[in-house]
Amino acid sequence: MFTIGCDPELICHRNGRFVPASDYFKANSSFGLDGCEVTAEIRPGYSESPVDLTAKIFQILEYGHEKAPDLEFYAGHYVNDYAIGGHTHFSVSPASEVISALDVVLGSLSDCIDPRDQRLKRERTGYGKRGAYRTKGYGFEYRTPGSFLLCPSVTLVHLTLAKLAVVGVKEDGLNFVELKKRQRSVYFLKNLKHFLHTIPDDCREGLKELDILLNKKLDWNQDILPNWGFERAA
Amino acid sequence: MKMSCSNCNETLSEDEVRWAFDEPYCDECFDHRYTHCTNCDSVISNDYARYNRNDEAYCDECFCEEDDPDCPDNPDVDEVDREHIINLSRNWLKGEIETKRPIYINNKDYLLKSIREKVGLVEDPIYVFGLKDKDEHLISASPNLIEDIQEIIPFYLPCVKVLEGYGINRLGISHSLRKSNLKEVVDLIKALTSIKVPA
Repeated sequence: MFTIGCDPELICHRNGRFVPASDYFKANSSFGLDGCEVTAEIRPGYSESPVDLTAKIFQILEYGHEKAPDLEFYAGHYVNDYAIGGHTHFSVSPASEVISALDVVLGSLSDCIDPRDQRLKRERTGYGKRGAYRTKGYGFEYRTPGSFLLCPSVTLVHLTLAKLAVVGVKEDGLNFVELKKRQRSVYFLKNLKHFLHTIPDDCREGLKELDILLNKKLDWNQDILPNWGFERAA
Repeated sequence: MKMSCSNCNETLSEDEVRWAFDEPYCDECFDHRYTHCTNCDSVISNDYARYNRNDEAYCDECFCEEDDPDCPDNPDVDEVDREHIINLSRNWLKGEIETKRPIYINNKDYLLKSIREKVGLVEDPIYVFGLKDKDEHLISASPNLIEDIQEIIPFYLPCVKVLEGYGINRLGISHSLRKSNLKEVVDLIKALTSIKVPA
């Protein structure tokens, strides 16, 4: 089995106003900085399991919150005029059918839950285009998604679908482009579990939560910390 | 003025030379042996370069300056972390806030890891650490926990000496207790973390 990892970004606020992440965090740490230094970047490591990777993200966020308890963090695609991404890592080679599967599956999730205005703004900056990836020593980094750290559920579902897209191609030989065709993204995702022959145990929770998530209206203009169970500093 | 590469002896014009530690190199030999620090631009041998998660090279000094060694690196996850993240996630979907979470420990102590997993998720997590000792059965409790500990300890570890420590929500357990009385320690922590303790 392959591993998944990620390095999603966050915008920092203090008392409701933007502050550069470089005032609080060091570039190379796992609660670190993106190349542009004003954006924070979470580097939780890697795991075969989307549940475990989400739990690792929790631990890194907890450290960041302890280190800078007066900060608020924002996820999404485009916050305070900065494009923020949710690059997702895979320890497999970037075959074209794998990249297409990620475009279809994670693209459908984004259609359903991501803030459309933010996504458009990010795309206009040249980031977040479909099919964007970089080959890495461990495999590849898929660069299309926005930052999915809004809450543990969105994170878990994103990572679960990322894994299932690759499993669907590698294990089940599925062609997700054909499967989706002209279906609306929400129906495609609701039917996804029926297309998959191989559903690893560590993907079952995320799939269950996907069904509930698709029926929720999400507010991306909020500090993510309370969603992860962290109390705001008094 | 013509020079030659210190490695392959290729003749180089002044414009073509790349310098490393006062030695001239051609492009190919330089790239094969050296790189530049992303931060201070100094020349570093490839053997000594340190790379961040974006594969950018740093000299040792700059790398340490830009790193936070306390920040968890690819942290371990156990059963209680899985249970916690799933509860957190499910409750968020229901519009509820998950209040239970694992206790905090010093992750370097394997006996504490086992205690953390066995205690599971609790309402009022405390920080549990190891006390260095030889053979003594000892517990140290921060001032805000001491009354509760003294009240409940006869039920779990009657022969254990309790010392007043410092800080808030801190419980120190001696090595001998962690090793020989794991079940009692776990039960004690479960009982303590279910009492609403004023901070």
